[in-house]
Order: sequence, then structure tokens, then C-alpha cells
Amino acid sequence: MKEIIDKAKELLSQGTVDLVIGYEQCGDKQCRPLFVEKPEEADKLVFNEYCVHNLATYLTRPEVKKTKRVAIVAKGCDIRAIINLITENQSTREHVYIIGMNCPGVISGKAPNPTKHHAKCQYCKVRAPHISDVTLGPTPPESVPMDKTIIHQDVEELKNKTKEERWAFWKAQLSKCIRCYACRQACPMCYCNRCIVDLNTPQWIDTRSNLRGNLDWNIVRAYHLSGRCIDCGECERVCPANIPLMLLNRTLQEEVKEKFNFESGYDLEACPPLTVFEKDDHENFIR
Amino acid sequence: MEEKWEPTIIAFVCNWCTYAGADLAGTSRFKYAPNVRVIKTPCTGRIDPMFVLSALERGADGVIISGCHPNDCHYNEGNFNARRKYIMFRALLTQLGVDLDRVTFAWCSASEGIKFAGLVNEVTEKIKKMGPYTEFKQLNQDAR
Amino acid sequence: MAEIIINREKMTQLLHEIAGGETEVFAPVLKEEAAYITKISQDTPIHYDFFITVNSVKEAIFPRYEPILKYKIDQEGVKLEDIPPMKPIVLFGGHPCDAASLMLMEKLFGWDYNDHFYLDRRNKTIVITLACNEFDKDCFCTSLGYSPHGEIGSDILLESISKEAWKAKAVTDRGKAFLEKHTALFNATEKPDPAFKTIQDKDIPVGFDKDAVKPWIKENFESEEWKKITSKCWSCAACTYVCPTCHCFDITDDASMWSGIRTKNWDACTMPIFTLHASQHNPREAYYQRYRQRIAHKYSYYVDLFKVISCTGCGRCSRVCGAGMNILEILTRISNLAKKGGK
Repeated sequence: MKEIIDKAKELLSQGTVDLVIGYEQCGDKQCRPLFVEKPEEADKLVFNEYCVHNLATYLTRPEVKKTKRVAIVAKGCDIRAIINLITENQSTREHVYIIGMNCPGVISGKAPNPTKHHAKCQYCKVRAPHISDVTLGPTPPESVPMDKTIIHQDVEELKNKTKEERWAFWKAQLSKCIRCYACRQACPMCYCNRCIVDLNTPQWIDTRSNLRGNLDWNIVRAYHLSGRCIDCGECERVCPANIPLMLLNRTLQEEVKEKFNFESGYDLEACPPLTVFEKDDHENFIR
Repeated sequence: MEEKWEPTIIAFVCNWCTYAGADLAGTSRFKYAPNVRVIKTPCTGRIDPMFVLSALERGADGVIISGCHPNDCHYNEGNFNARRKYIMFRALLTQLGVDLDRVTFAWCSASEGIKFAGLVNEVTEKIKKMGPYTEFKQLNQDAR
Repeated sequence: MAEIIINREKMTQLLHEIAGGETEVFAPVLKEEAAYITKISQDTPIHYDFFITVNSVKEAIFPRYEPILKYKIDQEGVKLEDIPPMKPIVLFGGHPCDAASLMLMEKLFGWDYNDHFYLDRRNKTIVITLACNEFDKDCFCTSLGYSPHGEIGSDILLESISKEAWKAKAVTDRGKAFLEKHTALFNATEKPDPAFKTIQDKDIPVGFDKDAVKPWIKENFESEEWKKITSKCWSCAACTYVCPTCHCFDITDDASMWSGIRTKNWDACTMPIFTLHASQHNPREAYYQRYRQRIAHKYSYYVDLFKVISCTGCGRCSRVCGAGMNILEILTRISNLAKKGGK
């Protein structure tokens, strides 16, 4: 897309940023991240419906943090991650030059023939980026406001099963996990220098890919994302074992919305919900 | 003679309120079920949901988490944070199909010795009726 | 010897029959629209309509986790428990690149220490390989001297004669014995389908000069190229775990007062804490250092030790990478740099 290329060239040649992180085409129906440090390399930048990666995950990398300033090509969902990183003090608004992209939706199916549009795109509230330094691309159609039961249809379906059925479902799904941690590495909100699963005095989580270890890992990761997950769906996309990880993450997003009236990643001034509290938080489960 | 199964209940309690309450139950000679193993933490805010998971996997049939009443936390806000944490953790466990009846939360102050004894007895009875928590125990078996 | 033909139905029957006994059977199974090599039971549906499995065959012989030691402590002291002997394995559904990888792994596991956990299993495994009828842009077995119809590492090679039937060829004595034992099922009557298309070696273009890679890596260890090549990599272990030749493992203990188990589990040099020292110093702290290690290990260090590259060009790493890393592209770039004398 010419606008992005021109913008990147301008930012790099004027020294506004040291690095532009965007997308390049790498196949008929595939894009991938591109790191551009020199204006002449910017010609490869593209933006289309195959640009599904959440580039905000690179913002917490040491070499990216060391740059004077970094520009990032970001869709609305990616900007939610950037905002969260800023509210959690992992980055600053000044350090990130947000090239916001108007986005009608991206395709999430796996290579080589991805065809499915991401479910999240249907109800996206930020097809036109909510915070950016510049916004590029044609104005996207507004998404139709959707009822929670439709947005979280698959989560609701699972809730309607008995608990034995759910346990059996998750046991079957999580036994496929190979503990590659692609979910953790792809997630922009997973940036801990030493993840809980990497701690070994004590070893909180069994590092073996048996069911106990897998259950612990996936439960803890979902739990550590409560109130922080921005629904980008990258974890599910990159999982080699095709585990429906977003079912867990969206359950918690729903809970955060219902109990704390909070959706993460929209407001730079907001505090992550599990770092604050209200005097009248729900407690009818406490004896 | 075969031993009748007795549930194992792990109680994570805060040092300042519930632990003192448990102490009071003892000194006042209120009887409560011996199935409980009390683990003292400084505050419910310290209790990581990981503890609950670990307890269930390593043989607990039920878990109790108990601390100071809201506004009475020795560290001012630890229990408020704990409350939020457990709201989220319960939702996660429900989605996974874990029986939430196995995990009980309570606010029990240092003067509520009776409440502590009652809590332990109630939970023990409930878990006795539910039986051993085989789902998680099975995970452990397979892991070994 | 008369042509030995088997079709899908009889293959399924054969695998199910064997799975009912003392032998472990691994075969491709469809899970969520992709094929995975998995241990099957007597009624697991076997999947045949796939190009290549997401995971490799190494899971059968080098499991994701396996016990190596168990103990119990009681009044009489410490009692060690024997790990049961390895069961025989029938491994079906890999491609020639998978079978070749078994040959490569053996070199490491039989090198300075005979890893009997691997070697015992390997010696009890019969490998039934499916020759390839298609390939994609990530395949590069021919660049490494392998072939879509290669026999290395296989006991039996199945060449497709039509969509649903194969001609079986015994590559080793073990394969021959297997075919003789199950001759009742290897007697399908399908005839070769003249319209059925397969591929030849020449169809998969050689992408790079494999002999140029190691010298370049040796001379350019500190090159800035590595940072450029690896900027996208986010250091998970997806590539390592689906790779048929990656073999790093970790040994962990899980113990209580009275019993314990020591297991050997998969590990990956790409993981952030793989080289973390107790002092907290990490010689491979940066992402590019870890990716460089992976390539250097396969294309340089393994060659130093065993005179062979530890890669068979299956392309699984590129296919599974969520960040868009592509090993063929990287090797081609290195090979081109080597030719130009570039750094």
C-alpha cells in the first residue's frame, strides 16, 4: 500500500523513528512481519486482509525497546495491545509511533489456504483505530453492534454443557498441547522476563507435556491474562496443535466485562482491573 | 479392617484473621473435623490460584480460602485484590468443568472461632458427600 | 517376488489388528482439519488424505516425555522401580524425509553414550513410509540430497499406484519379514491407475548449495546478517517440536516425600531459558543468538561431529512458524551470500 510505504520512508529518512515494524507479502495468501530500518527497504510494506499478526508483541523485545523510537503498523486490535503495554509501563506513548490502519477485517485460517475471516472482526469496535499518530487506508465499514451471546456464542455453547462434558472436552483438547509456548511468545501481553512456567525453585508448573502440566499451563496463562487479553486471537492461530485457546480467554473477557464493566485496551488512562478494586465488588460466592 | 475414606481438605488462611480465628476455635474447644490441614499465609492477597490447583492435584479433595472481612485487612487491601482474583479464577474453573463446590471462600475474622469451626465442618460434610476428587487425582496418577 | 499391493481399507485393518496387541501403533489421525502422527487404538480412524503431517514421526521413538527412573520410599528404604521394557512399535505415515531423520537421530543417540531409551525403541520399530506424491514451496528434501521416494531409514516403502492403493517394497530384512507375516492383507487387487500423478526428484527444485552453508556459518558467526535474518522470530519451540531431527531434552524430577519419578522431556534451544546459568548469566540472551544456534547446530556442528547435516528438508518448521520464518529462504540467502563472498 503506497501510503504506508511513503509514510515509512518519511519517518525513517527524517529520523523520526529508527525502526518501522510492518507487514510484507510472503505468498499468495500470506503475509508476515517485516522490520524496516532503512527507507529503501520500505518498498516491501503492504497491508491487506492477510495481515493478521499482532505486531505489538515485538514492542517488548530488548532490541526494539532500545531504539530511539519505533513506528508500528497497527490495526485496531493491535492498538489495544499497545495501549495495554503503555498502561502496564512496558512502553511509553512517546516511544511508539502508531501507524493506525483502517481495517475491514483479517483472515485467520491457517496457511496455506486460509479462508476463514476472524470471528473477532465481525464485532470489532475499532475498525477505524481509536488512538494513532496517523491513520491510513480507506474508511472501513462499521461493524454491526452485536449482542454478547452472539459474540461469545462458542463460549456460551460450552457453558451450556454439563461440567463433566466440559471437563472431558478440555482434557481432550489440552492433551494435544506440546508446550511449545508459541501462544505465550505470540501474545503481546505475555512479556514477563521469567515466565511462571520457567521458574524451578519451586517448579510451579510441570514442564512435561502430560495432561497435568498442560492443564496447569493453560489455566495459568489464561488466568494471568484476565482483564488484559485484547482478543487478538494470535495464540489460537499459532498453536501447532489447533487448541481452541480463545474459548478460555473469551470466557474471562466476558467475566471482566460483566463483573467489572471493563474491556481492555481502549483507554490509555485505565488501570488493569486486577490491580484495582471496588468496595462493592461482587462477593456472593464468599461465605 | 479397611479404612473408610476421609476427605483431605486444605485451608489457605490469612495469618491475622482466619488463623487467629482457628486458634480461638481451638482454645475455646469448639470441635471441628480433623480433615483440614491449615496453611498459613500472611494475607489472602498472597494466595495465588496456583496454590489451589496444586492442592487439588496433589491429593486435596477440597480447598478452603479464608481471610479478613473487607475493610479489615491487616494490609489494607489484600483481601480486595484476592476477591477480584477469585472472581476471575472461579469463572475459569467453571468453564473448564471443575466443580466449584470443591473450593470454598470465606471471610472469617479473629473473633469468629465458631464460624471457623462451622466452616470446616460444613465443608468436610459437603466433600464427604461428593466423594474423592478423582478427576484431578487421576491427572496426578497419570503423571507418575 | 509378486507385486505386493495394499489398499487403504486393508491398511487400516492391519494397523487396527496390530494395535489390539502388545505393539504400539502410530499412524496419521485427523485432528481439527490437520493430520498428526499419533498413537492409535483399535478403533481410531486413520487419515490418509493429507500431504504431510503437522508433527513428525519422532514422537513414536523419542516421546514428548518418558519416565527414566521411578522410586518409592517406605519403612524398608528406597525401592527403585523398573521402567517396563520398550514395546515394539509400528510407525506408519511418515514420508521419506521422516524416515531419513531417524537415521540422523541415531547418530546422536548412539554417540558418546548409548541412549538406550531411544535406541531400544528404535530397534523395536518398524517404519512404514509413504512415498510423496506432492510437495509444496516449503519442501526442500532434494536440496539436501534426499528424495520424495527415498528409502533411507524405512523398513517398508509404500509407493502409490492409485489414490487408495500402494505397492509395498521391503527395504530391510525386518520389512521383508513384516510383509511375509502379514501377507494375507498385502494382497489387494487394485491395478495401477494411469491417470494417477506422482512427483519425481526433479520436480522439487534444489534451492541452495548445502555444502556452502557450513563454511559461511563458521566464518560469519558474528555477522549482522543474523540479526536481520531472525528479527521476526519470537523464540517459541514450535519449529523445534515439529522438527523430525531436533532432539534436545531436559531431565526433570517430580517427587514427594515418599515417591518420585524422573522424566526425560522435550526441550528446545530456542526457548529463552535454555542456556540460563544458575548465576543468571545467559550466553544466548538475545533472540537472534538462539535462532543462530539452531541453524548452526543443524548445518555446522552436526556436520563436524557426524559428517551429515541434521535436517531432511521436510519444511515443517516453516509451515508451523507463526511469525513467518522460513528456513529454506534463510538457507538460500546464506548460500547466496557464501557464493558472493559476502558477510
